[in-house]
Amino acid sequence: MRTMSPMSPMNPTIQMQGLAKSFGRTEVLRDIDLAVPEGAIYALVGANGAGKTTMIKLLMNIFLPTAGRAQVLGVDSRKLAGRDFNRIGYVSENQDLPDAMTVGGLLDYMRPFYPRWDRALERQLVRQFDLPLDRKLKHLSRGMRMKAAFASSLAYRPPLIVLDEPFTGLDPLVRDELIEGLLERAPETTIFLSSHDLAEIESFASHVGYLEDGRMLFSEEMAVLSDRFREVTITLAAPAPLPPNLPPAWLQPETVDCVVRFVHSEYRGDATAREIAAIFPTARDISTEPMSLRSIFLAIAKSSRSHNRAPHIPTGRRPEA
Amino acid sequence: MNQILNIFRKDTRRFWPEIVLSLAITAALVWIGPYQWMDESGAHHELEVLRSLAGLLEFLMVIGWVLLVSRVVHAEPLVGDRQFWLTRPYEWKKLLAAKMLFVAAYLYLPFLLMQCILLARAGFAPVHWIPALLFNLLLVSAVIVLPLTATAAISSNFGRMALIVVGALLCLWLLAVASQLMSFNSAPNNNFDTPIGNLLSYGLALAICGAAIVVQYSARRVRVAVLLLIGLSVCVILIFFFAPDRMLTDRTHPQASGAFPIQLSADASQPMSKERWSSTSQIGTMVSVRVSGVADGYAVLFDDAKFSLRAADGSHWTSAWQHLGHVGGNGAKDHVWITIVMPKAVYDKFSGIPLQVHLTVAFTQARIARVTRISDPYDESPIPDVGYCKVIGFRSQQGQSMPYHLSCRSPVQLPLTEITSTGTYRQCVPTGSRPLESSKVTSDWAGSSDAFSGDLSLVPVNSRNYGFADDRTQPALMCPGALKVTFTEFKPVRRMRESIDVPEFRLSEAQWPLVGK
Repeated sequence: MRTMSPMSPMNPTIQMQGLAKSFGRTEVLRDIDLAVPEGAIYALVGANGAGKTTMIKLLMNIFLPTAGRAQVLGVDSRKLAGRDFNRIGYVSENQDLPDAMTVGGLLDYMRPFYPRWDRALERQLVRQFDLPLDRKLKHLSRGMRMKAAFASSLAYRPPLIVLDEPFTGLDPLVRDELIEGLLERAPETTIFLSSHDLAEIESFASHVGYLEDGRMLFSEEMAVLSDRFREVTITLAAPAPLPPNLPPAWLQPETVDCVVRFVHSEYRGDATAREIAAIFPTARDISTEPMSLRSIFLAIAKSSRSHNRAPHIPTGRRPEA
Repeated sequence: MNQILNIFRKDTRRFWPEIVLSLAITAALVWIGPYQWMDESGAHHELEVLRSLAGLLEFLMVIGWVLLVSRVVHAEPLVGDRQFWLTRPYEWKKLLAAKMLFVAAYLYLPFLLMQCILLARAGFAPVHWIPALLFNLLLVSAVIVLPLTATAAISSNFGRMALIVVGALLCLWLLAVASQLMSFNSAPNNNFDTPIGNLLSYGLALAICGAAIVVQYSARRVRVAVLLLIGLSVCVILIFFFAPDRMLTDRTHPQASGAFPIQLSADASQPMSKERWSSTSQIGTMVSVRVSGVADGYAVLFDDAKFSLRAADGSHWTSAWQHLGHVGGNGAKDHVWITIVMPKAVYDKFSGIPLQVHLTVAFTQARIARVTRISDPYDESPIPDVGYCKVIGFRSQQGQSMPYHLSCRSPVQLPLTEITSTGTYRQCVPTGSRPLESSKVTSDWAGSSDAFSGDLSLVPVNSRNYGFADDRTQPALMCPGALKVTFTEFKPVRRMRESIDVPEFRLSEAQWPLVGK
């Protein structure tokens, strides 16, 4: 017997415990623990092939996990079916839509499936996305198809919206329209989306998780992430080599003449300044700059590749050594 | 219910061209179908063209079904991970019900209507044949519709489904070739007339295809569904080659007790071995068996036989059950010829030496339920439970009526009926004169003794010809004014088996030449 409990801050909308997926001998996801709180806009980021789509398909019960479990809106993902999808809006860049239908036909067809379908919201979305109701989906541009998929997934006001690379390959105008339409729903829903376009999610994501090679490197609030990553530039009195045994939280340290640069992944204001001064006593100047999401992930990814292992991520999900 | 109707409406709107095409083929078959059993006299060429067209339409109707089933199942594909419907609130039972409703509305219903109309056009009251039509529909489901649906359920699109169907047809063709080869190397007819095997195959097809479809719709476990279908194919092949009817003969035909009135014995008045049948590796020998104790109004139908040969030196050989077909009937009141088949090596080993033969015969005691006699049926005559029959022939230059055959138009299912004729001669003489040669009784069989039998038929009216000849090389003539045809309908009463010991039997006693096949 399945239990359908309402979400609360103590009861995450999405929760994964030790989730893993293999296709044959290929491990695509490994030991994922993750919780998405209710009301969050959670951005799952990672390079192509990191396992984002697989994770989402596990959540939607399109794939079955090899190990571990996931709960979506309080339901075991393996049992997610039928009426459970009344409360989930799912849009994917690689979804096969019923191309022979017109946009209007798709909306007419979908409407009876959902008891909470909001006709007024449907009309609003059609206007907002400028959808041609009489055009067949197969004759629409990629952007228009995505808009139609969005409209058919938002009109029943789902408490959870799951989006798999929804903005990939769209022009900036369409992307903005979709984000705008999405954000209008944000107060009443939890959004879980995957993307490898960091710039676009930075503006609206409240939480972020980074998936690399099937492992979750970290998962935390965006504000916390931005606070703890800093690009540090130290100007020394004279050129000096990098000292050995630098703190593991210092990513990609490099030195050019009198200048030392690195990314600090555990920035804590004065405490960090004291830490730097202790290591570089001849430092004449220490400057720290906040980093964009893109810069943070590039630093993490490069550090990971150069060490051929996961970098030190103090407050996020720390991979096993 | 709303969801079922919503999906059904969507599929109807989307696939109306396929529906119209399928209905058009069915309607054309209603129009052309009757030419399949139409009188041969008259415009032969046009009739042959129309008959060919009717056959083609039957084929096209099945192709239309393939298209229809594929389109409706693949509208919500069950294979793959990109289908939009997977993350929509479809309830699998309602989705499956919607697909079944579609198949019922646009495949079963038109097909059933077509069958009723064709029956009516052939002169049969459709209402009387509804149970037979529904049983035929079950066979259509087991052999065509459910396997097609299961195949669609494990494929992602029409192309892949077509590949699987072509592959399956190729396997069937190979099976047919193998069975042809087998028929040269085993007892004749062992793989045919197997109602238990057929019933088992149809039941397995219904159950396993149904299970595969449910597995796919409820859980989308493609591997499980594929394994189920592969298992079904293996089972059907095994059933075909191992003929469970023969394996179960001991159970279906219990040993007759001493009090059983029908007695079988070796017929000393007839040669032990009348003639031999041979193939590349098998030889068949006909043995005469005396029958006694058959009450009036009853008959004995010989189903299967097995035998063992034992030589004086103790060497012996025992056969498996071999199918005899409907040997007996009205012609088996006194004695019957039974063909026993053995490998050539066994024949060579035991040939020419005295043998003890232990022959076990499985037979059906049948009640004669109805006898219909007609004379000179040159005009179409209604025969109860059989249909409409007439002699089709032509007049030779000598003014004699050459028996071509007795042509009967029958509905889907017939009771087991023996059709015997008398009044056939090697040469006809003017009416009133004494015939040159005495008349012989010749016979043929129609229908089946099993309640759940009958072959799958897309057109519910069979046109079958019954040939009458007293030997294979020279057909007898049906002379006007002398021909009498009797239709004897049998109802099985009980099945039994009895054993006969033949103490002195020589395989090579008879000198008839081997007939090579």
